[in-house]
Amino acid sequence: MAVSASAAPSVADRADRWFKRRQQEDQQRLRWVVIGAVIVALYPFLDSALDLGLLGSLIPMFVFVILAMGLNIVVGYAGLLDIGYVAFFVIGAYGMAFLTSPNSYFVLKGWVPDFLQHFWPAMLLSWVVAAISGVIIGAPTLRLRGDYLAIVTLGFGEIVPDFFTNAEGLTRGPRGIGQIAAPATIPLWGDNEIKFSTQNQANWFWLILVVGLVSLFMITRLYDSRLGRAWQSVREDEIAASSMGVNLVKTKLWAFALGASFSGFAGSIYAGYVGVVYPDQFQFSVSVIILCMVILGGLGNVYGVIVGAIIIGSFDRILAEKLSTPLNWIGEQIGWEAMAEHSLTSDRFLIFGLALVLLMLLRPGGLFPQRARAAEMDPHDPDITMQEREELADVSGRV
Amino acid sequence: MDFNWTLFFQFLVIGLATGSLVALVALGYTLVYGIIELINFAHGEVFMMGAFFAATVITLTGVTGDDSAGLIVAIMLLALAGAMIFSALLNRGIDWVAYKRLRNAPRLAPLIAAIGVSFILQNLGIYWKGSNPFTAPSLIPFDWRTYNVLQEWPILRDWFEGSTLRITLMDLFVIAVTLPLLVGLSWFVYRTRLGTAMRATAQDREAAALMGIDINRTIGIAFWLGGSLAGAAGLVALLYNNSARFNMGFQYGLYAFTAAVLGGIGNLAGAVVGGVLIGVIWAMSDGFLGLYIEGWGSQWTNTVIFSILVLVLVFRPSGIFGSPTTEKV
Amino acid sequence: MAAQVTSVPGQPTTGARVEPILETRSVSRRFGGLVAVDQVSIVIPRGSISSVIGPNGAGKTTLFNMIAGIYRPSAGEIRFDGDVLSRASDMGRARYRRPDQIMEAGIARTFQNIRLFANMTALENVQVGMHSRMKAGAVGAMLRTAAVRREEADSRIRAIELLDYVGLGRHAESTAKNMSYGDQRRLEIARALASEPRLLLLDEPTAGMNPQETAGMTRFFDQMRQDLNLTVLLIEHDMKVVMGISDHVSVLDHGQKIAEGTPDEVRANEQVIEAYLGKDAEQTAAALASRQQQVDDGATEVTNS
Repeated sequence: MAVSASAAPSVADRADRWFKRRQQEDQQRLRWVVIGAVIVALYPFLDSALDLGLLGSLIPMFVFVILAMGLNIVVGYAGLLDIGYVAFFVIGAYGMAFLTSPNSYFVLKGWVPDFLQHFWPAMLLSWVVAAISGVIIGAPTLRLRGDYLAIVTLGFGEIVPDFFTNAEGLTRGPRGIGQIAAPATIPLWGDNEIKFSTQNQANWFWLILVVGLVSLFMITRLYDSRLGRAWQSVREDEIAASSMGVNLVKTKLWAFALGASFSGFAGSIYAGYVGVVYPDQFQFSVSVIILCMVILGGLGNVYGVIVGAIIIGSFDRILAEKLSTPLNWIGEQIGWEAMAEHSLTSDRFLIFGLALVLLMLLRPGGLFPQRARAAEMDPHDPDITMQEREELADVSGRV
Repeated sequence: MDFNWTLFFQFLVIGLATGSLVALVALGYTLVYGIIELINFAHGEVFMMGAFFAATVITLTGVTGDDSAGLIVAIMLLALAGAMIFSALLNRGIDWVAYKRLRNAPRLAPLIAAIGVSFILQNLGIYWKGSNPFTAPSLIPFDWRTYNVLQEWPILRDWFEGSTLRITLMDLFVIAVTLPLLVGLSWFVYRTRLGTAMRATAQDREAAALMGIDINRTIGIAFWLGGSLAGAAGLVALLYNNSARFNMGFQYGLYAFTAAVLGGIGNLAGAVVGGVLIGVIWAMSDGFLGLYIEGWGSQWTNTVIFSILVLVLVFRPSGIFGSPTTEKV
Repeated sequence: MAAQVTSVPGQPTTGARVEPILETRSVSRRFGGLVAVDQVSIVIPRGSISSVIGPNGAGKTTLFNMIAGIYRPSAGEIRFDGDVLSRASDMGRARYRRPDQIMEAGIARTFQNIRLFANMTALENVQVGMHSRMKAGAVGAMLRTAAVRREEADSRIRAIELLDYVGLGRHAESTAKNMSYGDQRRLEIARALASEPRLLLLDEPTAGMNPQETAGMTRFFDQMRQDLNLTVLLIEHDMKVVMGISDHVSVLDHGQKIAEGTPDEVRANEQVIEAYLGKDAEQTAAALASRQQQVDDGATEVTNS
């Protein structure tokens, strides 16, 4: 059929060449990721050499990096504003607790087969459970417009932790569930082994790094696929996407399921690391902090999101505390009592709030905007009119 | 166990009072949403700030429950006016700083900004009054709180002889503040030129602009009105609950938003009805249901109300009165 | 008004007597109180280029959106290739298909006001068009199996072929929003063709083009029909555009079909002339107002449904 221009390279050649270039870019990026990962992996040695003692803060911070990567699928890739992402974190963490803690209701009832009462199989299962919960929570919200969807996810983000607080028989309520399993010791050659206990912070650090890299690997592959393109198309124009054969409901549900699934990873590692889960760890502010990470890094750009998560996480867990000392010192020097006693940790909400407002006003695409998203979040984008939003309800309303 | 009518009515009274508070806050959501389709997530915090400001004003005057009744009422009115003006200024200021430049942005951008503002205000609330709940300044004399009109007022005394049902002056106070505000608001919206302009803008912003309505001013008025109502609610909540806390806005705000959604967001009367309904559900769940359902207590209230929020949004996003021609304001 | 139309649903009075590929039977769509499309029956013969024309506000786009699945018909039935696409309850058991199912069935469309995925490349846009013809799922994508890799490679080649076909071969990597208006229109067609449709719906595809471009475009439609064994349904308000290439023309006015037949028959029809020229300006204004009303009502109903 093609009206091919003579002498030009064949179609297959051109497709190939284009693909090769794309692959090269990917490889280049991969190289950076590997270099970065190696540097990060070396950190525990530095930490112990200089006696920094930061691993205990870095591990939960990396848990949040994984959470941010998961939320990025929902918000960044598929364009569904989820402000109750903490619900999935709860489910991931409690999934691990239910399966492996000797105090868990399910274990006490003898419903959990022995082989599941270990960290690794439990982590995989909570990954699946989180994904399923993503579908369950996602399904009713999908027909809603963007802001309504956000509020409904917020509702679930409140209901789920509330349920875990109140259903005392099942969850032991506010006391939480302790004695959660850590990964089994991995024997190596000779007497060497990898142990995961509270003394082996470095091993936990490497564990979370590996899980994070696996997640990153899966997420980047997802984005560059039929499903990833479908997400992008839905985010850009639901009506057009639907008319081009994209099943809106299925596509969005996949985003919710996969986005939630990574919080299953994050939640179960977190639970295993901390050893105890209780509902107070999971408040609305957790959702907002994760959202902040995603937006700061640049919606849709997974590498940006990682950087954003590291910036926010390091402020949240390390800098706020460490920077208070010099601040107080300056306060003492200039004789300003409030400043001398002020702890930056009490400014966390203020700073996250400011970050959100300023980002929306000044850099809606985040620090490292993804090509597509940058334009879409541009305040002066005239493409999105009310009328189109209304039509859209009719298309997507048919579940 | 027999149905305890007295307790039922007791919690109904509490619910109606709380509900009118929720309604005042819900109106702020609905006014703003009706015009610019923004869920003003920070609105609950504007309400909280109103309560804080009222507390500060009362403390500054130094008037306590020991002073004369006239003075106390005067200070209450002063604090009411102060909280209303303060919250209105705050609300308008937030719009001016954070939302105004995002008018033409995708609708998620201002919503995210609003979440940010909400966090900022909560943190400012902590700076202002600390992170623990604080008791309201002791403006209201103790015997006002316990004054049961059903046993004190002449005719009522005969009707309710022997009944343990209580309606206190504080319950009446809530109504006494809320009702005039609601009447005033509906007068403004339905009887004045500005109100008409608002309704026109809510129906069709472009057409209203073509008719010469200053859209920006109209939006501004929505923020002024919503803010002042939230401020009034702040003062009432402070005195009625006798305490306040930096995160009270989050709970009240989301409950009020649920009320607004329940009544059909953008619908003024709906917000009031929704507010009262939510207030009653709140009070019943907190106090009454526990009598009949084992293990029920106030800790389930959040779950109930957020479930209502989710269910209404999913199944009846136009609210319980939602007809295709819901009038938006 | 319907009485003046001599045709019976399902039996075209004019045009090629081939088994129809698309047929609407007394299809109506109401928005609130306004009837945007009123019992319209049209028949699109297989392999033809057919057109639906009518002045602004005649209900063309509403009809079109019903065929494409964006709106549900309030009454009537739409059949495609012997299958019921959508059916309102008055014709038996109600049945509606989503736009993506309709595309999967073999109907592709373009949009009047271009709706490309603006921030994706031309190639990616076309690849989205192939969505329903591809299989890879989430797990396959994460594992990137041999089958998935092959499918991706094939889709790239096919996409570049299609871009070549519409004359955009060199723009494969351009971001859609950076392309010129004419190129965007072509890209929309390539994207639609990517789903291997049997029926292509084009909503005012030459809007905003000068006469020369328009002529080139219409020649291209004819070419496309022959090359790809397609049936083409055009929607136009500009009568001149369709007359040259259409085998069959239906005319809508105020939501009703007022005439149909060959271009010559339609051109000579009194009612058509009246509809287009109007009796006076007042009518034109009324038509415009009713269109606005229909849009508004549509929006309201949608929000509250």
